[in-house]
Amino acid sequence: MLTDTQIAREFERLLGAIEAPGVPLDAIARRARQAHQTAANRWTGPKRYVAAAALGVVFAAVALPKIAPSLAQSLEAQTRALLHWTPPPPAPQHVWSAMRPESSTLAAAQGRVAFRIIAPAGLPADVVATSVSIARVGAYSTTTRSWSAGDATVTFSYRRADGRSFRLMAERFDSSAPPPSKYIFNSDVRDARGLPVRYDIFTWRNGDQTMSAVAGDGISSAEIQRIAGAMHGIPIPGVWPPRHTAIEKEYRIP
Amino acid sequence: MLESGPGRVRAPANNLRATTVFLYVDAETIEQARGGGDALEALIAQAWPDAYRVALVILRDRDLAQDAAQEACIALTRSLHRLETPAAFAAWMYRIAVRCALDAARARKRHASFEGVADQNVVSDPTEAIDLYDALASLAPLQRAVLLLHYYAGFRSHEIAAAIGVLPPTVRFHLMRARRRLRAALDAPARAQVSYNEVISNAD
Repeated sequence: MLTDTQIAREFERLLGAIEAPGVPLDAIARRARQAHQTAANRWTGPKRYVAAAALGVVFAAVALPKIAPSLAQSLEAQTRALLHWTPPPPAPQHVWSAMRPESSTLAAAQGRVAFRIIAPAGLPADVVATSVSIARVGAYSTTTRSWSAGDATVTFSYRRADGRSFRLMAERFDSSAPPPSKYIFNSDVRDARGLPVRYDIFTWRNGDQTMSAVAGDGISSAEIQRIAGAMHGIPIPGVWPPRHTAIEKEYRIP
Repeated sequence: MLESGPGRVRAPANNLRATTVFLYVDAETIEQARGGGDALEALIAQAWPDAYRVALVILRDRDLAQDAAQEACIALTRSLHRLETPAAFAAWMYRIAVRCALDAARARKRHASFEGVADQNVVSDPTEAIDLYDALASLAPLQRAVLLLHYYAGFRSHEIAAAIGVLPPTVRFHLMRARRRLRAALDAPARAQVSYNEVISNAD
């Protein structure tokens, strides 16, 4: 009988005997750019998991049954259980168009929002580029089951020296709104079970502004907390499972 | 005794616990690669062959293996900044390569079954290592991944569990079953050879 050592040696021989093709650097670079672009377009924030989850659930509910009904039902059920939430239908074109982000300046953005903008402070030292954009939020009424374009939000986008990027989103504080979600799910990044991967969201308040950020590839939880601290923001603890409201919000990210 | 090669250090196979074969990249190279550019491309070039080999052993399909290895390299570029210990680069890269290969295996299973058309002539010298490749055909991709991480990358069960997203007892179960099937498959030709020799010997 083969010993563990012999099996290990066989594996070593097998992999050593496999001739790898040349490194397709161009293809890797192209696909990396595409993946980055897709992820950037699909990010969602507190209650912004709408878009991400919708993609995941729509994929599970619509696409998969045609090829693997039992697997799709299982994945859909697992995804719904994971998110504690059922996504609304996609926003109609006129609402989606109204949600399109526009480049702006801090002064111009201030003239278009109904809250006093407090600019971020305590940013990581390696931030090399900043941009500001403004976009209206999509609001879905779970009672009337209809979409409309809601308040404007301001997004601060940052690029770091190593190419990573992250965003901070500011919007009007709504005292009647339930606490923000503690987590966000990105349907573009799946775990070993095929479910969307979970990220932490941090939310804090300055006056009538609420700012939020998602910890992930671009920025760590500690760095976000440093920003919130430097802004003297009041943390708004996230809850999980998320509280359901009459209005579901969807954000279109620049 | 270590046998060095370009970008690799090969340890003796009897030292199973000390990562039998590993992709060696020094800390300075990784630090430089974090800045992108040529250094990152050089790191991808070093990681690529093993990412491809690992994917091929799991997927048994050259096109899918190339695709999975490319995904692994993309994940490398995206997540390199999160690698806290440069010395753990090899284990980290194997983990990524295995995950990408298993993702590809799952996608293949969802969309169509290509299991029956796996490549056979995958090694440069068909007289070498082909037995193990054939023997692995009887296993599921997940079991191949478990065996690969255990015997090739030298992972322990809890490390394999973290890499493939299952519990350690599940890994131990897969390892036990896969090892048993692999031994049976690998021992069969040996038994046949013994019988043949016995016949010759008796004939003499």
